[in-house]
Amino acid sequence: MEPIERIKKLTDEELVSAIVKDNDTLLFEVLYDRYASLVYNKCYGFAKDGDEAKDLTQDVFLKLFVKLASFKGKSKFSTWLYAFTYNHCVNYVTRNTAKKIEKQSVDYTDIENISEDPDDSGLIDMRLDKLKEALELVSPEEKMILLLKYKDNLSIKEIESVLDIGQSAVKMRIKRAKDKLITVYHNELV
Amino acid sequence: MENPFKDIDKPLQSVPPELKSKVMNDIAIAKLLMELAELFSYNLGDVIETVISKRDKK
Repeated sequence: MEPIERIKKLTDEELVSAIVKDNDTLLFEVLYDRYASLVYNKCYGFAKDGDEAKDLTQDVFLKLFVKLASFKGKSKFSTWLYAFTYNHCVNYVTRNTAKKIEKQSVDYTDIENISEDPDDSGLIDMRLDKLKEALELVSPEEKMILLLKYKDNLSIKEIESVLDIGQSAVKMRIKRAKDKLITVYHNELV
Repeated sequence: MENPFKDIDKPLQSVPPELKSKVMNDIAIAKLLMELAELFSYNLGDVIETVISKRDKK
């Protein structure tokens, strides 16, 4: 076994490739220690209570171990893990709705109007407690992309790569989600 | 103005300590199953290599 000090110095990406090489469970434990709190808190944001967050976290780490090899290093590991965790949570939350995937048609005139750096002033002025409530009222998918963009500060490019969708789709989804959030914030909350 | 999204998960929740052993237990079982699956699956790369090397060279 490698000395603890050396393992501690490994970057996330080096650690992941070492785990994938021979499904090393001891090294996975190191990865768990690095990210348990982050994953747990992200799950907590989608769960009803602590117990549900615990279950979600347990599932995320199991799935992570099995699918770790699908991390190709195109983005930072942490960024990839954010999307991985959110995806799992969104699937969990929407599992019962059995909603058919809505083909979101993209209106190209809208895309042309989306600037590279969208005006976020409408979001920045929001009050924290009301923002939390509003996020519960938009769809889990919308919540996910807003959190990736504004909480985790991913760039459009990073979101493109972790969600595996095109640039215009990313911009479109952010715009839609933001508009929806602002509408909900101003109209549905007292 | 501060970005309110930054504080959306505050106060941070601490991870229940018993979760780690549950996760590691899952991982151990998953590893066993993955290794079993590997035993029973063909390595397709090898199959192709073997067929190519066994071709009659005419």
